[in-house]
Amino acid sequence: MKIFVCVNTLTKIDSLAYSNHCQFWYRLGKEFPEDKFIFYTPNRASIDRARNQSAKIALEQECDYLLFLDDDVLVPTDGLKLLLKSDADIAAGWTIIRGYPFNNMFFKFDENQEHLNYYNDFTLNEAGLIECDAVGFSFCLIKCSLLKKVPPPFFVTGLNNTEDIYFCLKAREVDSNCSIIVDPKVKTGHQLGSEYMDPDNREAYKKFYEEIYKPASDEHPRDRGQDYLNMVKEVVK
Amino acid sequence: MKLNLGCGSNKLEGAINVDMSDEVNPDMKFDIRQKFPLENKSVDEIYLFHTIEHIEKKYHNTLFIEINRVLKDQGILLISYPEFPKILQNWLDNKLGKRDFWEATIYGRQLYPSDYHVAAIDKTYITLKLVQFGFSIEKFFPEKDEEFNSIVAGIKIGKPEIGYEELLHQEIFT
Repeated sequence: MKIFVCVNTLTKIDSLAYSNHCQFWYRLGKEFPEDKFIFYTPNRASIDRARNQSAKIALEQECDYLLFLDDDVLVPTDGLKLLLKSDADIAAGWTIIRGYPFNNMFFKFDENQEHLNYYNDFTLNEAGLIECDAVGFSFCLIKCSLLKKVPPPFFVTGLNNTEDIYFCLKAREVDSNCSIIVDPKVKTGHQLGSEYMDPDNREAYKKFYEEIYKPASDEHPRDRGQDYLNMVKEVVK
Repeated sequence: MKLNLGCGSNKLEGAINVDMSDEVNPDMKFDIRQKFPLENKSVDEIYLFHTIEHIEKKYHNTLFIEINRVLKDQGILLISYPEFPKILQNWLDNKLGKRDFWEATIYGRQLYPSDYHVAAIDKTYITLKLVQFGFSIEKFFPEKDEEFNSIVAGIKIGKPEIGYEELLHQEIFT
């Protein structure tokens, strides 16, 4: 088996992610002694460029799989083993989007097959996996046999979509039976500032955000009318 | 008289809301980067709420000279602005995972021509400006719900170190 691994690092990698990835590589060597790994760590490439380049080289090198591991993600050391076991065309770990309200980074179409929604209230299939219509590629294993079916460019960041969703939708267009899953046993940590968010602490973050932090509005500018002036004068007097 | 300079859509009751854009329908329309069409010492209070970061620094001296000129002695100046070092650090840290928000706080929303932040303002800079242009600093504090924004309250206590005519001469003829 030959696996092409891409870790896209924009500028630098957090020390915690670095040590986690080192452990991960060590376990790959121990668990897959007969298999080959090609590591690609592009520097300061845009995410879609890095992913496309990875896919191109993976196909040229006749790899069996393409593994994406983002530089801001912690992964369980048995993550690859579990993703391989799913035997899905696209298999991802369980990653949380690092921004309130901390949705899952996987998606499912609504009943009308019109809108792609965050898949938070998921169900498991018989194999204990989450069947999706699109997944984020923070930690994701893609079969190269699927790449061969999809015309490049494989990953394109658009106005309303990220490059990973683009690929998932395009893959389904060319192969309606293409399997896209998340293995809930593969819980990843997603860097949020100096901390890492994973499925187990997500609710605590949400509660903190809603009840304690009282985040500022995302709208610019805030209302700076009469109430604002009154607030300022109250402090100044 | 109270002036709300660069009011945008944030109008204040009891103040003359000044903007150079017709779209916001200001009470008074003029460009605050140039001489104010107002008499000396005719204004009691001036508010500059999240305006100064929209003005290039090369116009700041003129702005403060004019503010000093039109304010009465002991007149009040209130300025609020995004505290650049704090916001930059938040962007670097991707605080709360809201990098886009911090970026918009640094550069502005950029929805229309004047909706850009073109000056990095911090406490040191604003303090120097106020002192240089004849103000005492009465209070300096963060905004209540957005501590990365700062508010400074100044009182006019004297004349600026440099006059408007001298400033123009320096800018254009030297």
